[in-house]
Amino acid sequence: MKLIAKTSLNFISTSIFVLLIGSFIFYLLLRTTINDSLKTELLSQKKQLISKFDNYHTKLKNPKTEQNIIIIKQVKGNIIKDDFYSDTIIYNESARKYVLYKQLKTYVSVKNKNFSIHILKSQEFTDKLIVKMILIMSFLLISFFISLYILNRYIIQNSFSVFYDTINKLLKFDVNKAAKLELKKSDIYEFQHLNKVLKSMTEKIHNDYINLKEYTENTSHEIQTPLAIINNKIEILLQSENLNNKQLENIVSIYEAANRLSKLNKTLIFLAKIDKRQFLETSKIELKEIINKNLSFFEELYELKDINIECDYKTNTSIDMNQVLAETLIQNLIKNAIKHNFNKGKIYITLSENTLIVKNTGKSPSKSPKELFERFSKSNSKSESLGIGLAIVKKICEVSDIQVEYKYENNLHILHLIFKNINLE
Amino acid sequence: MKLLIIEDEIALAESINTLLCKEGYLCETANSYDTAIEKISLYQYDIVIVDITLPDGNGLNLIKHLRKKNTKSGVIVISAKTSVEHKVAGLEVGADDYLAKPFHLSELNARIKSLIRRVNFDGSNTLILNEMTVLTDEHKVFIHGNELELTKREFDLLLFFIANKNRVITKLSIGEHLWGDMMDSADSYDFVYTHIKNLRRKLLKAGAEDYIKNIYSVGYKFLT
Repeated sequence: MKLIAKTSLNFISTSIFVLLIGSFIFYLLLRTTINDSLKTELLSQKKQLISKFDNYHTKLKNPKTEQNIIIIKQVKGNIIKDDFYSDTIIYNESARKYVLYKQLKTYVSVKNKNFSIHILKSQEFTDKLIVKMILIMSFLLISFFISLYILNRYIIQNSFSVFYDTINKLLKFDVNKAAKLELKKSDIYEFQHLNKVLKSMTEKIHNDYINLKEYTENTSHEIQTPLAIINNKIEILLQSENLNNKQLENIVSIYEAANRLSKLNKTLIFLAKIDKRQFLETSKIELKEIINKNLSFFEELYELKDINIECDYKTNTSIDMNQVLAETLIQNLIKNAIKHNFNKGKIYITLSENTLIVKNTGKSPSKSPKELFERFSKSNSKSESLGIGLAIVKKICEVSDIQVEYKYENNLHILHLIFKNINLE
Repeated sequence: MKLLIIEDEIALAESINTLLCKEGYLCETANSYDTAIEKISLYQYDIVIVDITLPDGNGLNLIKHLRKKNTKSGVIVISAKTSVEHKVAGLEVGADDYLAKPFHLSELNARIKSLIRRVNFDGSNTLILNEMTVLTDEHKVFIHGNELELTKREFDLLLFFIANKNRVITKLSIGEHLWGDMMDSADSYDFVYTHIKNLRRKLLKAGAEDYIKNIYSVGYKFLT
């Protein structure tokens, strides 16, 4: 949940709660106050009535208006000299509706005669007043909350724009690229602080990364010379006449290990170079031509394994790509298809508009496609293979705008390349 | 034939020295830029082997210096820098060949031989070995005067053997000589084996002696 949604939700629920409770309390208070004032009015009317009673009672005249009804009746028996308040509903003929009245019932005895007095006061107007007041109050409160809500949202959105900007830039941050992280300025201390920390952190990461890469590259280069010494000394040693077979085997093991190391080292240097974007220059590459060239280069090798290669060129697709990378990519694809194949196996190469599909028979993979693409993952126990071929393929595709997928279907290893760098000339 | 090895790694310079002395060349080594400059200025060499990265200077400058003085010497660069740009830079200042470290001595030997042919015999490219005559430029081989049909790789292989005659050559160096870096050793072994088998059969059939000897687990030796 976004922060803004979270605060808004809290704000709205609190507002509704406060609004409901507040209105209820407001209504109750209003109700009591008006009731009290009605009672006071009734009481004062009663006093007035009693003071003038002598003039009235004989006539038994009941003064009546819409708002006020006074009923005076003579009663027999004992009377209780107390006031009773109650609510009553009376049907109003003229308005054709029931109207709520507040009634005061009291008894007086004048000249040994007992009278009951009912004073009724209509609550119609007070009710209307209450409703209006509540409406006005609610309107005010709601508009108050809405404006607060909008203001709140606006402030959060505004101040968080810096935050979202920072997140977007961090998402796009590539430790490989030289560009520094440019973050928006904010007037909020927390964000200022966050951006400052992020800036110094990314700079540090970038510098460390560059240092590490340079260090690795230098080391890789430095390793070449000792490896050359090992190799050459072994070659000289192998020229000795008086070595027995066991000694020869041992020397050859050292020699082969040193060679593997140097090959691995070369590959690492190559990968580091791709990482450093040293192959940026692109030119128009004709895929068909490059595939055929590499097929003839590997011809003897697949003939040796008796592998049958079927090529299907639907189009002669050209792409914009670095020459070295394109050569290496195709070379690795073909080499891989030959290497991880059976004797008398098959390879199918299909080139269409924007896809290149290389399928080959071979042992079913023991690893998931994702793992196969990792550096140095070995798919089977061939200890000589560095398992780095696919890692190179992946890396080259990554920097050359090519989408690559690996599948194992119908006993075929399938590498599916989708070119997004097509040359349309 | 006089050669100069300019290499700051003494062990490496020694290995190359051992190889070249065995091949019958007159060898000198220089372990620093300054000694190299001195030697180049004072003496004349047929072949100069230069390491690009020297502690007190750049090997490329040495090549420039050498080229200013004369154009006759052949120059082979040996460098830990493997990239194409470095190779191009080396060849542009006047090197004849570029070999990335680590390299096989047999490979260096073959390159030196090839360079000597180019530099010294001025177009003459005939190698004669007993009953065998090899025309290196035309890619032709004659046994007892009869032409022998060889594939391009078989021819390369034969030339590599002749250049490294009487030396033990590892399977790996043969594989890399024919294939370059692209082949993984395990795959190239079968391949090397097949090619050697074919070459040997063709040579024997044409009436040549059996020069190629198998050396247990290591590789081969071209015995003359």
